[in-house]
Amino acid sequence: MTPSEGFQHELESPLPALAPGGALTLKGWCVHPAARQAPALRLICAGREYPATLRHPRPDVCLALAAPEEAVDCGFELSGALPTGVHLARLEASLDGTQWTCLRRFTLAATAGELQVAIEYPGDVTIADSERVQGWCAHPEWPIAEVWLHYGNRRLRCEHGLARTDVPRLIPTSPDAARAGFISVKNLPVGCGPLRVCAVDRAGRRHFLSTDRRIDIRTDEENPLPLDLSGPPARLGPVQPAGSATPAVDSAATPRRILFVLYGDMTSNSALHVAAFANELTRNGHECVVAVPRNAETIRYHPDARFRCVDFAACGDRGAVFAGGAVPDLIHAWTTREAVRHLCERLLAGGSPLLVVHLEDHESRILESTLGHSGPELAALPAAELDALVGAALSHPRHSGDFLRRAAACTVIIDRLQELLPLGKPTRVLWPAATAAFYERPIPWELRTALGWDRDRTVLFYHGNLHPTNRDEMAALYEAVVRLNATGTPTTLLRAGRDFCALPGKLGEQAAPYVMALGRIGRHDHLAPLMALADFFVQPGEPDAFNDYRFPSKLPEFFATGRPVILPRTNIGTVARHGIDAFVIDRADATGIAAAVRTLRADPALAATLARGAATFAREHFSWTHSAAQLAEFYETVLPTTI
Amino acid sequence: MNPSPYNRASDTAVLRKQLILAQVQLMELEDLRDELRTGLVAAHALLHQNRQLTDSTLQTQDRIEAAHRELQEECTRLRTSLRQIREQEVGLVARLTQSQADIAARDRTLQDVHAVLATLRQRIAQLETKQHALEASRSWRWTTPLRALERFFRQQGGRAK
Repeated sequence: MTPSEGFQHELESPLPALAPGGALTLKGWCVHPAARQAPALRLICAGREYPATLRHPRPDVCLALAAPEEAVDCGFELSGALPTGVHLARLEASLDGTQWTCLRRFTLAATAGELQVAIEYPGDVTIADSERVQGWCAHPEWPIAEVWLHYGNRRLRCEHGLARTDVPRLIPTSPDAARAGFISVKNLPVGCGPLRVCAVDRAGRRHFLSTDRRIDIRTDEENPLPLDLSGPPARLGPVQPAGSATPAVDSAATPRRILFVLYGDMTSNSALHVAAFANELTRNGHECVVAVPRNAETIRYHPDARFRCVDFAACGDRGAVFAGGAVPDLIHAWTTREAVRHLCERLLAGGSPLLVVHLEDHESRILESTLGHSGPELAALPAAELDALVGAALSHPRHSGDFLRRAAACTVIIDRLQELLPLGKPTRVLWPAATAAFYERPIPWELRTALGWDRDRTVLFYHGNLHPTNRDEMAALYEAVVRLNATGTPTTLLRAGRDFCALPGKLGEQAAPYVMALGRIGRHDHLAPLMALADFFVQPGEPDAFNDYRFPSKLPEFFATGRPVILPRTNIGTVARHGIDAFVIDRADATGIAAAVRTLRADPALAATLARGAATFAREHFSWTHSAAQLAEFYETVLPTTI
Repeated sequence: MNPSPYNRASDTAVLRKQLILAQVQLMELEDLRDELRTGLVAAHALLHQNRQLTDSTLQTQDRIEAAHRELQEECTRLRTSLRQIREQEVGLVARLTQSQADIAARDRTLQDVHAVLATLRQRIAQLETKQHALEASRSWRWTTPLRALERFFRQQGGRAK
């Protein structure tokens, strides 16, 4: 209750006041002890005056304030139409109708009125014939420039602006009600779904209205044979399956500042691992920053990131990129590649944080494969020439060893990589994992059927780029697909990723009818519903100096999805049990892959066992929470107790 | 769904790819929708808070303005009183000045009176000295009976009248 010039009043409508669709309604009461009558009320808003339109008896107010009985009609109601926007309103009272006193001021938000539409022809609730639709469409506030009909996957434009004499009476505030008539530009084409009208006003704003009509048109001029589109829409599953909540974690006893130094931006494969570790460590109470050579904005591909991402240039000489300009307690260098090494060396020279180096590949093999020179050939090159060849994106054969020796400790993605470390270096094996999005997805059979892929067809899925290092393995997979199709096992390879080189010979051309190349999928978790389309997953390759020292990061996702995984007896293939956890073959070359697929097709029971086994293996071995806890524990063993 | 009317294998492959990529696009749009929804909720909350703050500020402003008006009225009253007090002060100062002048004149008169009084007191002292000397003289003492006789006759003469 606010006294003002003796008036006592209360605005009983909820504040902040809202006028939905521009319809203003305000209620309250007002009395004046010196007056025997209830005062007159009005609202001044948006340059207009809104007098009290209704008076209500309020004996409760008179009783509480000992007001005279004649003032019992002190309850009031203000109503009217407001233009869209937020307005400053003044509630005023007067005893004589000439001298007005401001009781209070407040804001009043008026939302836009709704689009008004009538479908007049056809008159049926369900429109089943391909014909033109007529009606009228007007907005209470804005003139309409375009009218569209939306149903199913159809968007059909209408001629608009046809004369109407009745609409101005129905919507007097509309600026173009007199020309609100419309008719679709042509007969409605085949389509199915509820009919919505979309009107674009002259300012480009789009207004939608769902009508009470439904379209179910099965034939039109271009489709004389009936098309039944009325079934449920075939969709992939959700990106995040139900019940995929992140488990709770314990807070770290000593929060640390950890700087991850990554060789590529946040779209690189390794970024998935770094992001997962950084997220988990942050949940534990540590502060994590990921430094990338450039394009720090690519963190947008990790919408759930709990950490910051900065360019190398932002790290300066001390890495003071943490809260309050603090420097890191620990630098975790993600590989020994030159770009990473250079930044880490600079930061180490600027202070004395601890260095931990992570290895995820046999860097020398990658170097040799990428440059096309053997180790001895590279070793024989003059220093300047070697430096130029190696560049920033590869590990330097001479400097990477020193870099590893400077590290206080190392982490490796797979145990064989420990062979490449200096003797006695504290080391921890960290397996990557799969996020909750990938866990145990059933095959979306409606979509498989809509795609024309019946249950006799085998669908394989592979996500990963094609580059010189894995060209032979990708070729094996493609060739297996060609062979399977040639020998009566219809197989389709769904492939995500980019090609940075060509497949050997005419293999690309031969495989093209059986491969659906989707290109790069921007967000990694969108792969999970796509992977659910597959019957089996294949990791091509064989035991060798490259595969023995790596952990294909897609494997945890293969296992987690709950499908039989065909993989060679190398890296994880040496841990997974054949026939229980996966289909492990000595060499996952074209012959081996094709044979494995045929075996699984012929033995659904084995396929079902391996699907369950894969899911179980994933639950037991692939957990980012668990891997990050191991990492945090490892940090504590190398970090001083008090920093 | 009935079989597709498209017969050519390449068309079917293109449609399949489009269908799958459409699913990806749907996921992207759903992400965008979720982001926008979150943003919209946040924007609404901000707008609500903003309007609450504005309403609160307006109320405070109204109260301040009312208090300001009261203070201005009080100030006007005080100014009027001050003016009257100043006018009275001017009169009082004038009266004070006059009074001080009067006091000064009276002081001067008093000094004159004191001077006259001193002169008179000196004369009285001289006369008293002279009187004492006269009354102590032999002639005064020897003539005492005569003065008593004179007082007697004067008294008798007075009764006779």
